[in-house]
Amino acid sequence: MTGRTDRDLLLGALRDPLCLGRLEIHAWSELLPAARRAGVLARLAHLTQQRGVDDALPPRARQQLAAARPLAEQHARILRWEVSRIRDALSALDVRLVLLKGAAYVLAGLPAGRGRLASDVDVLVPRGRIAEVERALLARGFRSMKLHPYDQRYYRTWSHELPPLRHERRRSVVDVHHTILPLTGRVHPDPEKLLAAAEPLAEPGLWVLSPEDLVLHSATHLFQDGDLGGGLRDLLDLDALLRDFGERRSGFWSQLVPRAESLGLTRPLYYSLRFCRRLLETPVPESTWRAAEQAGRPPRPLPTLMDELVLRAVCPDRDDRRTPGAQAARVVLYARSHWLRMPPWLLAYHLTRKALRAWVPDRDEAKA
Amino acid sequence: MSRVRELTAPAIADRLRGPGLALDLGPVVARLGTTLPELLDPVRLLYGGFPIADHEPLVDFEVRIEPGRMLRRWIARQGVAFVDGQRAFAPFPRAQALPMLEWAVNWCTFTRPNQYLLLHSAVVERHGRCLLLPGKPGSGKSTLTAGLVLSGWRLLSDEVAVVPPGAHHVLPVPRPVGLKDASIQAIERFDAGAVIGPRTPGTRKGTVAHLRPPDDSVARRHEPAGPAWIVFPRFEAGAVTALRPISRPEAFLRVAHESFNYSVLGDVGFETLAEIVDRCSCYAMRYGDLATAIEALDDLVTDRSSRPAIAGSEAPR
Repeated sequence: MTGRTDRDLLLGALRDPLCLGRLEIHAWSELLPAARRAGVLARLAHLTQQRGVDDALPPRARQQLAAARPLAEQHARILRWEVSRIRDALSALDVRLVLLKGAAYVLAGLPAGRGRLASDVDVLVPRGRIAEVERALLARGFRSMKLHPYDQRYYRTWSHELPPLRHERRRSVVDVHHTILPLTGRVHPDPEKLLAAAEPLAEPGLWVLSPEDLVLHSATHLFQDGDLGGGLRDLLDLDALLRDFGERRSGFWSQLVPRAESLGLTRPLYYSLRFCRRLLETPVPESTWRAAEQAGRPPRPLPTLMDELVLRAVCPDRDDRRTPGAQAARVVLYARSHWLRMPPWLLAYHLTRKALRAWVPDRDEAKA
Repeated sequence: MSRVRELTAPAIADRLRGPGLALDLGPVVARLGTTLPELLDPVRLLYGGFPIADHEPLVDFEVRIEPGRMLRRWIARQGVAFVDGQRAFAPFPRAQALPMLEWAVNWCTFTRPNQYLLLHSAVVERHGRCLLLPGKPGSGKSTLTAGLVLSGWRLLSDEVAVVPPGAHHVLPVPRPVGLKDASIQAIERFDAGAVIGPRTPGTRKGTVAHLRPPDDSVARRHEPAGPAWIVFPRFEAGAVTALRPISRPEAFLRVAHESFNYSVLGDVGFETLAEIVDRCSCYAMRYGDLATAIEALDDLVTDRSSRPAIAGSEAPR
């Protein structure tokens, strides 16, 4: 059986969990490992429970899905607790604490937060306040995870976030962002705009990005920053956000593309809508799709090339069935992610530093 | 359902090399596969009593142990493990393929079934009720378990107590019992008839070997047992064997701390563990030799089983 079949099965199951009641048992033994590999087994488990299809499933499949849920529930619990600790740590600073990604989805009670595996907390604060925020977190037991001086410099000079902080006892990780893309990257959305549009949560002191910005940040994360490593999980986030906001928030669809234009994020939005529609059949209004195409569609061969790369990234092949094509796709994606993240001179410097470090234990390290 | 030892060696080899050998391990069904010829005999020996789960097209996990590729295969002579087709764990010296197989199956058994509370504890049963032996590595837990199993106790597990929330009982996962270094000789001395697999020297844990689980324990792998005692063993060379009652709160905290997924389950984990500890009398046991330790535990359960089985009413607080 080829990898493509796994993918079709998995995407089909996520699009229409009700059809799982009729899935034959041999297909389950492809579907469950594929979902696990893509990091979305807990999400699938959430969907089957929510749609009430569990009772119709083969007992062993039902058991494996039941086994996948507690971990996602634990992660949501950790996120809630860590957010409360961070808010507490920053309470004296009078800084607007904006939650990003998983923390935002879970604390805002969005469907995107259910059955999601991720316990790292991502927050956005104004760049001018970041030193105070870091000090306040250090005072509460968070410690920098990247101790190598080059890593520290890399984060502080070129990145969009502090080096990740980990709590010394709870081992939880917080990423403090001052914007959503690396300073060295090709696009620079204005973080002031994001902060200004943020919306307060019912819980005092906590904010999340506006609906359009949540979508655009997720889109950016998947298609502009990185090697599509988050793959299917990120695409499912986007799908859940689009469906939920499209239904609940009037004006969401009409504001999405103009907002992307104002932040310079039309390309990742185009890709997000393209792949949500294609792979997950997300209902995107025709007018929004046409506007996104017009604003963000890259020149001809690129979308087709991306089709192949994204398809491979959303559901990785099994290691024991990996083809040369899959290997090539990984290399291309890795190169693409770095290309988007920094200009060529910096990329050359960065990779050289990283490579040297593997061979020469330098003085800096000894000091650190 | 035919058992592994009822197949011929070539038939087992064909399965291991090809589609894999699906085994019913109790709460989980695993599929094992390998192209390494040296694993054939150990698998036949240690898993001989297990039924082949050919009727289960859907397994809970698949473990394959294979030679590395290229340099890893010919120069470094390493093996690699695959779980569900994904490379898992660091490559290992090929001579350690058997401990690696056992480790990979254990790892899946301890990390996957989060629908259960998974306590890090050996579990053995006598007179229908089971004894939990939680203990850190080096506490002598496995040696004691092996000794008890060779003295007529039923093996539920030498590593994990599988507790379904709300059920008040422990599910068996009988598996080969891992023995290290001096324990191997200790068990051989204890029972000359013990069936022990090949020794693998030089692993992270020293020399390891595996005791085959008794056929009866394997046959009763779907028969849960209610917990009645929790005993924390500690081996000390030369010590006089002694059982000391400990409080339930202390036992609770120690077991929770050593659990595989107590914190994953949240309040469900708390409730489930509380139900278990409430039904048990709890002890710490220091022991210096296997025979007196087994005698002490036999006395403990015989004493208890002669009284009405009212959970905990006379147990130390």
